[in-house]
Amino acid sequence: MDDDELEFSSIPELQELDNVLRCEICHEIIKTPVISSCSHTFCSLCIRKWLATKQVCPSCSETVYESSLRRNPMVENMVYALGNLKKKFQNKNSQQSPVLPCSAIRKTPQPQAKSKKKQRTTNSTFDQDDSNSDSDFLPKKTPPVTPRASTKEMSVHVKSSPSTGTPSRSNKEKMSLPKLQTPLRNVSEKPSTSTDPKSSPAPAAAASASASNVPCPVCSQLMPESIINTHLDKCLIGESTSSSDQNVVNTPSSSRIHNSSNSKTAKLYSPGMSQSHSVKKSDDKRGHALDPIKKMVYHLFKDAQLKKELKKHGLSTTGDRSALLSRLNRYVAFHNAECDATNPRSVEELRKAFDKEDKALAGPPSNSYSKLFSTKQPSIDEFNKHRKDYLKQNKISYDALIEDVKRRNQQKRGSKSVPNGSVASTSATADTDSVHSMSSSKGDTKNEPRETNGKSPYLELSSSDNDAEDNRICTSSKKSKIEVKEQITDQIVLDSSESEIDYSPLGKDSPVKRHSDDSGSDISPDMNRTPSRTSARGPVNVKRKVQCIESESDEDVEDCGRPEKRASLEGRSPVLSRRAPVRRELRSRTSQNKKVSSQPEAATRRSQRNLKNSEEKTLKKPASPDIFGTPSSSVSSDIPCGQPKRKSADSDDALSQLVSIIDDNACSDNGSTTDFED
Amino acid sequence: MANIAAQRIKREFKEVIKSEEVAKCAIKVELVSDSYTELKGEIAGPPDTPYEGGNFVLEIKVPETYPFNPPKVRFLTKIWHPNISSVTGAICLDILKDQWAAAMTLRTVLLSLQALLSAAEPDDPQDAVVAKQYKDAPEMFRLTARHWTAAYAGGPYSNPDFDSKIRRLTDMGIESHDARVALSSFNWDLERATEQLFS
Repeated sequence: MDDDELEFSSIPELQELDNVLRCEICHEIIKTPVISSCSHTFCSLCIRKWLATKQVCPSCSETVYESSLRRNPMVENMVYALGNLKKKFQNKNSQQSPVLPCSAIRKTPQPQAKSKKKQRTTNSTFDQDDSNSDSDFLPKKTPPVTPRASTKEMSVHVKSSPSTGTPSRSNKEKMSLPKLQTPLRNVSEKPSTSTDPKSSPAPAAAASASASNVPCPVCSQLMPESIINTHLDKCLIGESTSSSDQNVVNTPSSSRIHNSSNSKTAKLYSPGMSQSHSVKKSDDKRGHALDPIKKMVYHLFKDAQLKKELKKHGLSTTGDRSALLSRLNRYVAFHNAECDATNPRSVEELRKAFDKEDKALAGPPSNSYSKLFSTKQPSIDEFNKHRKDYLKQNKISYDALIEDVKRRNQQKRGSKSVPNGSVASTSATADTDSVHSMSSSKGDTKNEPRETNGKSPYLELSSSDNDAEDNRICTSSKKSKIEVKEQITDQIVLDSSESEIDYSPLGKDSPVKRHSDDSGSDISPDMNRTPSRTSARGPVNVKRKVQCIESESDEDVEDCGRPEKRASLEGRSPVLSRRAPVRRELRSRTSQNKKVSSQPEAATRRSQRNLKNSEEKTLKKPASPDIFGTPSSSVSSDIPCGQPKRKSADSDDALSQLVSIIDDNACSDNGSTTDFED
Repeated sequence: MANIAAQRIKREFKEVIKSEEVAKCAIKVELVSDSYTELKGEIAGPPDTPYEGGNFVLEIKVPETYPFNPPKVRFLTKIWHPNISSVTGAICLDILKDQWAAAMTLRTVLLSLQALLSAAEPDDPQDAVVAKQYKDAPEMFRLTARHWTAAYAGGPYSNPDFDSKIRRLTDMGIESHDARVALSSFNWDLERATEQLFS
């Protein structure tokens, strides 16, 4: 429509006409115009919608009731004429179509419009007057046609004139009204006439020779003036019957074609009218005319009544009361507006159109709601799909993590060979492994681990001889203790990430193996032998870990944790280990006075001890579900401590996701634990 | 947004752009969102009023039910007017409420607001303080409104007396807007304004 405006801008008068023929409510070219008691014209639907909110004229604020609205076919015709004009303009501008028809048409609508304006009276009469003044066909036409029908004819002729393509007609178009009427008649009434559009050319040619040929105002066929009366009678009588056989080629008027093809072109201007007058006539005869719905005070209805009413009109009864009410009111307005149309759609069509509109209205909110209230339990496939998607999305993070772990594992493997060969104790191996891996990330602890690598076997053996020495070493210096803490937290991070990766679908390689190979081998025997001990020691370990990280002064805890482990390594007896905490604690108090002579050795040992502890802790972690009830508790308690030290921001996300995955896989987690124990 | 509302607003928008009032810089609209649900209007203070020379910015929100319901309009520019809240910018104008008619457009609304500026209706006030001043001390109202226009809407007339009073208060640590409101409410009685501000 905007394009049309642009076309028109070159001719201000037409632009003005375009502006005048717009509905004040929707600002579109008026559609199914109705006139109010205060003489303002609006789209039927628009004004009905408006009157539902307030019963005054939108233009002048005078009180207006819906019942006082009347059709205004003249405006409808004008709109139609304008539409044709626009079409011509577009054609002309776009493809330089023949100027002649264009100019001819341009002249026609305006006189017509003017004449109609003059006689803005009841619609039943004006058409006849109009046609009387202009055309010689009128007398013939009027008798059979009802007032309403005559107005329809008017509009039809307007409509059909542009579409008719025969040369003879286009010539005659200059005569304005007479020619206009012809096309409209042909629409519906042609069938009855004996002459089909196809058969007509011959008579028409003959008639043209005599120059007395006239087009039938109903079917627009040319014929000698002498027979037009008899033809017309037939035409008018049989008008509705025969639309099927004929002139699809010639006119768009058979009702079906009208609705589909014509409506497309004409809908901007006046959907109802072009298709219609003739059709409506036939509709009338077929009894298809829409009867307006009597408005009732729906808001006094009970819900059940409302639903009944909606059902009666074939409408959906979903939604709450306000939705029902608004739907019913809107439908009544919609329906009654359609009743004003010259060619109302059938009730079914109407219903469909309304449903569409209704859905469009309710659509956006319902969409957002559906997002909010998704089905509570997604199917397993869906769930898996989402998980896969997520994994895919975060593949980079996972890959980085896996790579990281692999690298560390390789380092461990490399260092493993040294202790393995020299020492029998697998626990020592595990310790050095972890120390080594730490050394790669911790610059300040580098020296110690290296020493450990070489010395650990010896240290392990010697320390087993003398527990007191161990404790002494532990308490020797605050600074080294802090280092130990760091190491422990690092170790924790390692553990958590590894165990997480175990369960991630992407990394099923080394981490699992590592658990069973390195550390699992040394601890699992313990567990095997002493199931009771696991539960006894678990809490202590966890507690100790937390304290190590959070407070620096808990020597006692460290002591009691370490000796315990010590015990498990030395004697491998459940009794001893259970008793150990107390004993060690006492010892550590007494041994605090003793100073270790060789500092490096002490530091090495201490770190080794701690690492052993943490290593054991790592192994405990999978088992912790038994103790704490949830596997996630142990894992999540690790993450806040260690994570920030080593992981980058993006891997944080990945880790937290992994934690959730571990939650999901609690079962498999437990399963792996039991594997250890077995 | 319902199709009809969007279509209409689009059309009205063009109408305003093309209108002669825009040519005279009396009114102006611009889009805030592409969806045509929110617009920014601007009206010039009508001549021979305390608002002369000022440009008042309006927030226009178009409801989905437009044009069957009026657009929601409020002043973004602070203004001293009996029918416009000096705090929120809410407008008391019948056509934006119960007297709305579907035939009205953005252009007519903006012009109506302009008319409201030149013809206040103190008997149906939005801002009671302003309305009281308007009725009891019209000259004081005029000066105050002009001062506000100068302070917020780019009006040309400044009032040295008012300015110095505000400065006195801002020196005491009061925000200049709060100071202006307090002083305006008490007919520029510095003592009472101070009392109110520090009570």
